[in-house]
Amino acid sequence: MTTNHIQELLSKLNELRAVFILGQRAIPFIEEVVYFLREISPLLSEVNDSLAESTRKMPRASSQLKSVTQATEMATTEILDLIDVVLSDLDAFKKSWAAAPEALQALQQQEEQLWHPLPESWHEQLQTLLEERRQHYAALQAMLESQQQLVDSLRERMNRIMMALQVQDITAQQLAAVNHLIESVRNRMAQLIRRLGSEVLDDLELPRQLFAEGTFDPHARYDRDGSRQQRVDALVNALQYTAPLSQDDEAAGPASQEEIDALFNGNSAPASQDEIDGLFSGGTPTSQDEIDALFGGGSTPASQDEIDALFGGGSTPASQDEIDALFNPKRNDSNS
Amino acid sequence: MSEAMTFLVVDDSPTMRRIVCNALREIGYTDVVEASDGADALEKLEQGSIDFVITDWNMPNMNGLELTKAIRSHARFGNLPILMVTTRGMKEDVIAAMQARVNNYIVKPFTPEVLREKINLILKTA
Repeated sequence: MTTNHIQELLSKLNELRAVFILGQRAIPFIEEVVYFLREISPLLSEVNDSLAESTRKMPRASSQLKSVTQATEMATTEILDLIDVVLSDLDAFKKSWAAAPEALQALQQQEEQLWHPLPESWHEQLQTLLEERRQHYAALQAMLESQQQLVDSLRERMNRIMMALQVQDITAQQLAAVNHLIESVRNRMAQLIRRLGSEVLDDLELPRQLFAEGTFDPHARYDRDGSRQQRVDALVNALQYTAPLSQDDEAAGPASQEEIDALFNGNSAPASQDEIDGLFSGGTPTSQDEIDALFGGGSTPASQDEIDALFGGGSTPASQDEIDALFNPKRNDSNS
Repeated sequence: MSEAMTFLVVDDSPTMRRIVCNALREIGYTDVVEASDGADALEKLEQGSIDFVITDWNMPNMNGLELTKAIRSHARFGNLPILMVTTRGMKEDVIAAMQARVNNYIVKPFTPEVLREKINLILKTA
């Protein structure tokens, strides 16, 4: 054995010693990992049970939302029925009093006619009485005019109430969108439960969607300031002005993006796509792909934290503001 | 076209159909036919003489956009005035509707004044 061999042996022994030292240091960590795994196992089981329980409850939530929509529709129908009755009564009332001013005028004319043939000596005696009667006629005339104005005002207000009931259709669409989201989450959770190896629940798959996709607008909102209509009008005018859609010309297309940009931002600096999107309340609606991506698609399911974050925790229900924020983040920002 | 014209109001929401019908009545149009979706609307168009179509977008069976395309490709009533009344107010929606050749576009919630203005505008340019 040469000196070189001894040096090499010593070097290997040092390496071996380093491995042992590392092993000694790693043992407590490995022990901690084992303890952690032991502790987390029941937690995982609990999470699994919780997921299954939540998933079972979701159809009831969907059904309750549908009930809310049906109830508001029924109530709206009742209100519309009552509005129809009130409008009809107001019309009848207005019609029945429509001849009153003319009748009053006829009475006045008759009195004037009666007045002239009377002897002059009577005139002085009856003057005061006649003046009083003229004042009564004037007061009656004013009352009739006021009554007409009141009926017209009531009519207009009833019509405003009727138009405000559009809120039922808009909220029904918002509820349908929430329901659709619940159904998507439920399907993802069902997949997650299967992946975690639990028993497959018989009722995991919804028999059918309560609100078919495409029958609601997830961005529906009750916005009465008219600014959305103004933006739509501007775009419609731009599209009609820059590229009239002739009915005889199948090839006629809408205005180009540049033309729309020019309309919304002058001729010098065309608006960016983001700016135009900003005009129209914040971009495109959430696609199914985006929902899928949120919940991990086929490969990585969403965590309970992610689902909780969406619904504001397991115990407290989401507020309207939170739902609004989900479907209309920009509006929520502007309100706050 | 006169105010005796017949309107076809297409919406899957009975509430909205009623509101649109009442709004039409308020602005002087009393002859209204109702349909609950695009397919129903096409049947009604085949049955009677409709002068003006007011349609929602989001509906089952056949939506308002598909209905517009179906009407425009129809030999008999391809030139009917079509007014889209919808909650959809995104730029892409308006462009898609105009590409499908609706005559004008109203965003819900609307007022009878806006309805009157758009109808008059369409009738003036028709």
